[in-house]
Amino acid sequence: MFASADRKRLLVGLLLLAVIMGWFLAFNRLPKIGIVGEDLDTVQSQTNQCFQGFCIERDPGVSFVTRWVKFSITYLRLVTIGMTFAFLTAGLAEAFLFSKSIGKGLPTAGVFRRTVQGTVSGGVMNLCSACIVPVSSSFHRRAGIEGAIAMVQGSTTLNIPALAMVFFVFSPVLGFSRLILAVVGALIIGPIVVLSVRRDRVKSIEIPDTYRNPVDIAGWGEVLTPAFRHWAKASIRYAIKLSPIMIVAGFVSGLAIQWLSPEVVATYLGNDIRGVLLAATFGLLINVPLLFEIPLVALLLLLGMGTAPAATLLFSAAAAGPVTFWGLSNLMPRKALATFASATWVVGALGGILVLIGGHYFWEGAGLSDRVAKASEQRTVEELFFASGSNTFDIADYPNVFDGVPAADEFAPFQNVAPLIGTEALIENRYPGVAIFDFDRDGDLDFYVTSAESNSVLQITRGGPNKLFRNDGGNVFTNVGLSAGVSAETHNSTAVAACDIDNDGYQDLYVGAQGRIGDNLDYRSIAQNPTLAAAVQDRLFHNNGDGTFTNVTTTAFAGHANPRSAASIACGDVDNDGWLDLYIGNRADQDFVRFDTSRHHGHFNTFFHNNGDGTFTDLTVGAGLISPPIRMRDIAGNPITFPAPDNKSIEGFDISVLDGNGNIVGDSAGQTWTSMMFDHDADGDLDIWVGDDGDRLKIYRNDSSPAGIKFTPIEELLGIDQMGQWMGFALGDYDGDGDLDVFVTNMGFQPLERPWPGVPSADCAYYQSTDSGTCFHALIENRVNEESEPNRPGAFAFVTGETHVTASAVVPPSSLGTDFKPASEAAINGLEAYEFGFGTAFFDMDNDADQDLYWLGSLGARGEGPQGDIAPAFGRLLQNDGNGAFTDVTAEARIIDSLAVDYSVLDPGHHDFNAVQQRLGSEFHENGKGVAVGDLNSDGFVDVIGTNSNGETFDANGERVVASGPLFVWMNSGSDNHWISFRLQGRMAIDGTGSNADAIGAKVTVTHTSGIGESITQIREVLGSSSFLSMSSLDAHFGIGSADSVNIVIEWPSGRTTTTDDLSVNQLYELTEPAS
Amino acid sequence: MPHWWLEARLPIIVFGVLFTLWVLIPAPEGESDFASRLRNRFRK
Repeated sequence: MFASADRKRLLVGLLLLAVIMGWFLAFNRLPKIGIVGEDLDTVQSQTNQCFQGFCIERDPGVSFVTRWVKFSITYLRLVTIGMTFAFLTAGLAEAFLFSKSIGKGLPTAGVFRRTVQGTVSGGVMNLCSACIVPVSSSFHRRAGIEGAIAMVQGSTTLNIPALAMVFFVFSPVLGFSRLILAVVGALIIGPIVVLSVRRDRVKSIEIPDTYRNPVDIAGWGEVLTPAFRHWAKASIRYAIKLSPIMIVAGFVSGLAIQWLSPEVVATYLGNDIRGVLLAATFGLLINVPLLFEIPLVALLLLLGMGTAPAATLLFSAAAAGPVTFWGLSNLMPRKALATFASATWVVGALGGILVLIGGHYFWEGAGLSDRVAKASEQRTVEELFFASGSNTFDIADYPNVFDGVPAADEFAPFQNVAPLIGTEALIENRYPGVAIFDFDRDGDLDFYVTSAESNSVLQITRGGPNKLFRNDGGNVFTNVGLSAGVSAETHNSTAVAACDIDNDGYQDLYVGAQGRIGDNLDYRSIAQNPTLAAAVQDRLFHNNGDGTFTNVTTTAFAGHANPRSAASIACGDVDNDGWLDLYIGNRADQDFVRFDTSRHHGHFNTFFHNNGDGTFTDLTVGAGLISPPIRMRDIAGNPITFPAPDNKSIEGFDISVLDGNGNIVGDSAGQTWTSMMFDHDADGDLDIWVGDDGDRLKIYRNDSSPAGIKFTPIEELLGIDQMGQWMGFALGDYDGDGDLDVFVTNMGFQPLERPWPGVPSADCAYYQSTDSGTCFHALIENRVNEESEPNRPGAFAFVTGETHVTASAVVPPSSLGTDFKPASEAAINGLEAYEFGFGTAFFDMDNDADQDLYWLGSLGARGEGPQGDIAPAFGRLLQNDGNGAFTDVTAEARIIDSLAVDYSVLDPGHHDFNAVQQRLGSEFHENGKGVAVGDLNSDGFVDVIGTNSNGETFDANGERVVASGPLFVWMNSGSDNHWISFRLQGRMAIDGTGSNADAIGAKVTVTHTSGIGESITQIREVLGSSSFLSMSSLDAHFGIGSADSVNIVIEWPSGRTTTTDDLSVNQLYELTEPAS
Repeated sequence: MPHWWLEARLPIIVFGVLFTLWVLIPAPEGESDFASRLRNRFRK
């Protein structure tokens, strides 16, 4: 079988080829797929689009020559190993494989057969359009011009890795266009070139005489030794002959590719004939490394190149280039070479034109595959966060701001400066609270944000240090939590309040905590484990006044710190003894919270009385503040009870529900999310309002006397014992009638989109179906002053449905859309038409002397994560029109609780408006939680901080990953209206008499004249309570329109008053309580 | 080690081996090329 020398050489040659190719494929070609994958990630990242030496963005610091030389050298480096393999293979083919007299080994008859041979051989080679030149030159000896050209096409456009990647990265249209063009090109270009010249003008290669008479050579050694010599000589000859050509042509190619830029793509490579023709031309002017055309075309598509030119370029960039043409010029006359180039151009251009025609009739926008397109749009939360600084609007569009010149009634948008803080503003907490206060008393407001514990059971709930952001001015906030001693890494922190517990003039920090999620243990079991208890008991940090805090929990609470699940903290002096007391609203252990059962286990709230000596006493029971059992009724209104000890029964609470350690779960109480102390009946003491998640509102009238602290529940008396899933309180005089109204967030209209629940539970939709409660937010108007008896039915009234809100034209709630299908007979009116909310606040956004309303919140997860569609909501900012009606200005104010929102076009009628691309829809919401307001930059306009839960999202591959919750620090750009602000200090900080140092409970009344001469009276109460996990600044801020002076009256909690007339405006006044 | 050296190693090794083979293996009778002349010079 191997008698002849040719067969011996063929055998050895094939073996050597297999070894060399195997090595080449394994160590160079296959890893290239990974490189191309990385290139694709790069072009999708939108932050760095340089790959394999090519950067499409012009760096102004880099000259054209530098860029050209850098790319060309990188290209030549990248093809070095391929070229080495090519020269080696070419020499091998010449010396071992393509002897003229092999006979049956390689059939040589027929143009078509030679073309097919070349195509198949090339497809196996996996070489780029430059590297294939030596091999095809060698192959030309056996298979002629057509075989050599087919080998080029087969290697560059028809190799398996390329085809596989093309179908993965691009749409089926582009995948099939590449495949078809590659097959057509491989099969017809070669024959066309042959037809254009006569065969006798083709250059032939000399075969050494040694091989002409193989029968005379007997031994393997005698055959193979000269063959190896020939191999070495031929390979070196190819390298010497072709390398200079390739280096020069490589630089020519590198020069051509510098034409590409985002502007060129947008201008010249659109989806039209011109784009196709230019793509075909450009493709033939460049040589690229193998598979390079894939990330290149992907990048150009992302920059806006049309599908048709993409189809053309995907073929022509790979098929051939200057190195190819120049390198093959040794094999064929110039006419053949010109035909080769022209035919390749025509095939590419025709393919693009067919895709263009098809796109006109059959398919649209078929560029990248859905998977890659989505991945290219997919940005991490961190990338989105840093794209969320909205300080890109031109302040010139909002003239006259801060320059004292009155302007039309308008406001400038908020600017989110959280990205300036950096990654410290990314929070790891499902329940992140924020408190705004001046911890170092340097005159500006700082803020504190809570994080979950670092030792949590579940990775999704793992937290880190709490953060104390010191305000350094100029939108610079520095986290000093660690050095201040309040980082509490192992504490599962939630709610936070900042109040001066010891009247030393510095606000201390009370940090609530909740049990570990996923451990199946409730607080009774946790209390038995000292280490675990330390992680989930509340903590009190005393402000030392020197920038540091000391954990005084143990001494303050004598080992009885609140062990339950703090979700809100209210500071207030309930007995007016000058010392701030604490009311802790506890929710429930998250492991046992369910809304599909009649068992609704909460935690008792806790009332700590301040003893005035650094210690607190739990007076919950004695003060009458022990939480009552929840209301759980069947459809007929009958209580649903469960057995309790002593033959009793408890509504909604089952003592047989046990945790993992066999202890009873929870208490027979509601799940409190929010609590607030304010003097609702204007009798000089602080009452307590409590909002539970799945129970009635609870109002405790303060009936304390010198005999003792006593509270009386009066929600039923007032007629506002409405069932709901109450989340957060806001306090403000929204209707300008001189008393403080209340807004309470709830689930919103969204539960009405699903069928009414059939099982009695704490689900507000169940209440709403039985007319015993509501899912809607509650705006509760204060009518106390309308009659003499403050605590009477009707003293407070729900006015939610009759409060008009002008919906946003940009982001209207879906309840107002035609697709909204509420549960049967559910009517939605006014303010009821809005979505879910957690944290909330009233504040004067534009200083026009009325109270605007803001809330944010979402349920379950961020919109782009798993279950993000449960209750999508991105918060609402409602601008008060001065008469108690509102306009939704959330979008115009740029305060949407979503990352990377593009506010550049807010006119739905504008042709560039695209709610999805601009991320204006609620599907992009973050998982909102706490809200706190305060003038962070001391410019007289109230700013807003919003917190968001961390949680799952999807990565580029559709896999679930945990991502941080972003802070939003929205700086109010303000308006032209005037303002005045008061920072009050109670006399207890001075001489131990009078009111608490923070003046919590003080009422500030400001009177001024409007622009049309009307007298306006505004009232604020210094509120030391958290809306939902969070607490706003204690400063009493007033927007006063165009007034130039105000009269004020301050009613201190001690009963003392301060009266001042004609105060100048646009200032913060620090006022101390008078001595008497 | 310069980055380019890593990429230059393989071609240098490959062509070094090839050149060595070309020089060491005698040319067929009647043939003369650069390698055979170099070989003859070394043998002298």
